[in-house]
Amino acid sequence: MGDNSENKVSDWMIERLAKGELDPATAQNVGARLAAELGGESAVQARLADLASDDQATLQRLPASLMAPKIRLRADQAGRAPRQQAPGRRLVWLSPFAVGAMALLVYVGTKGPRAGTSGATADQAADEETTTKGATHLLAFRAPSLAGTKIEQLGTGAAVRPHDLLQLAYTAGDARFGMVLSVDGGGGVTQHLPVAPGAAVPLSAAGAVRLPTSYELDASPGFERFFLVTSAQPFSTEVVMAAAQALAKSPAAAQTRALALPADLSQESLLLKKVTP
Amino acid sequence: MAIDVEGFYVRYGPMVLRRCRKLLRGEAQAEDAMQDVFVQLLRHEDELEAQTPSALLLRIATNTCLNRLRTTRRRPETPDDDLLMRIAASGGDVEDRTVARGLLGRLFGAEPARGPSSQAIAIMHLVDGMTLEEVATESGLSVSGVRKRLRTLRARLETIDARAVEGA
Repeated sequence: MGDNSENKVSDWMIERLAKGELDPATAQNVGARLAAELGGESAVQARLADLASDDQATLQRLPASLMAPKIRLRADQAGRAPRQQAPGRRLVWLSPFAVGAMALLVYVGTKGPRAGTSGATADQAADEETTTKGATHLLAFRAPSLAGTKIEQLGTGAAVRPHDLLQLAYTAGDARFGMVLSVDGGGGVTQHLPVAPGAAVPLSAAGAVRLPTSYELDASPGFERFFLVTSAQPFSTEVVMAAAQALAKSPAAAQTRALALPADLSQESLLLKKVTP
Repeated sequence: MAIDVEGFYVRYGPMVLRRCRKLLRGEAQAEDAMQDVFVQLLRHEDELEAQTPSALLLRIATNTCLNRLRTTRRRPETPDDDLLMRIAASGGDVEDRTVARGLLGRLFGAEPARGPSSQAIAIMHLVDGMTLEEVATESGLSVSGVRKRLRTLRARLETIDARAVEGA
């Protein structure tokens, strides 16, 4: 049972390297050994890209919307009290009509409202409500172009690119007050609804309601994770923003962990992974 | 801190599946084991303070698969597979339970009642090909501690082999 220092780099360490969770010295060592083994840095990048590609293939075949409820159910059956949302909560269905209506609502903006580009008109306001009702959900849609009418709903883990145009929407369910914010891979936190600090906004319970503005994703690295925070009672956005800023300090935590919020606030998140063209 | 199941799954699920697939070979078994790995994570969420979830999940996955292999009758297809099955078979039920508690305690940041299993360490070094230093770092042990565990396991494997020869 000798040392394996001369052997090829293990899949275990490559996985850890790919996740960016090795300490800097170990990451450098593993990267150098892998480059020597594979024949160069470009080969290392190709190996890591293969892992990312396999990640996407797995998530398409076994999406979080399918697997997370299964995991919670199995955990509950094993005796764990459920703390998270109920199984199936992320299973959102939108009728073709609803998708088409949502497509009409996409208009250009920057990350955060762009002055003078509000595309919401009185006529469009009638399209704000779709046929999706029920639980509290955060929804995201992507428009490939401003000119097109094609629209794509994004599930958690969906790949997005800098400059993609996104439209967010929510269904309030039983919640009466809410806010929407996002954290990104650069440690940034952006408040989307309401756009100014203060009190959470009253939510419309009529169906899927779009946010007042759409967004153009910036070039911050890694990911963009949107949170919908809701409550039956009015609440201040400040405590939520403080929790988001604390979470955003760690990119790994910001992708996986929940906001540390008071017990009377509920949250749902949607993680979008940024890929560089 | 509450665990965001979707977030953890999206970021780490495919990695865990690859780990389970490597150890268990069968796709259906691997997918089932993957779910168990995340269940383990949820059941101990109150203790979760891991700074490196990938190491945590890979180690839980290894333990989960070892437990499954112990009760599996599978014909080894390669020398590594044969070694894997022998290592898995060398662990006892009582030790499994104790080790699982100790391992999870360590992984989740609590003071471990006992360190990671010798079987898991052996898999990391002998099957995965990790260096002693890497195994030590990933297990939270010293290099000498890893060596000692490996010696103990080797002696156990030799005893098992001797019994098998005697019984043949």
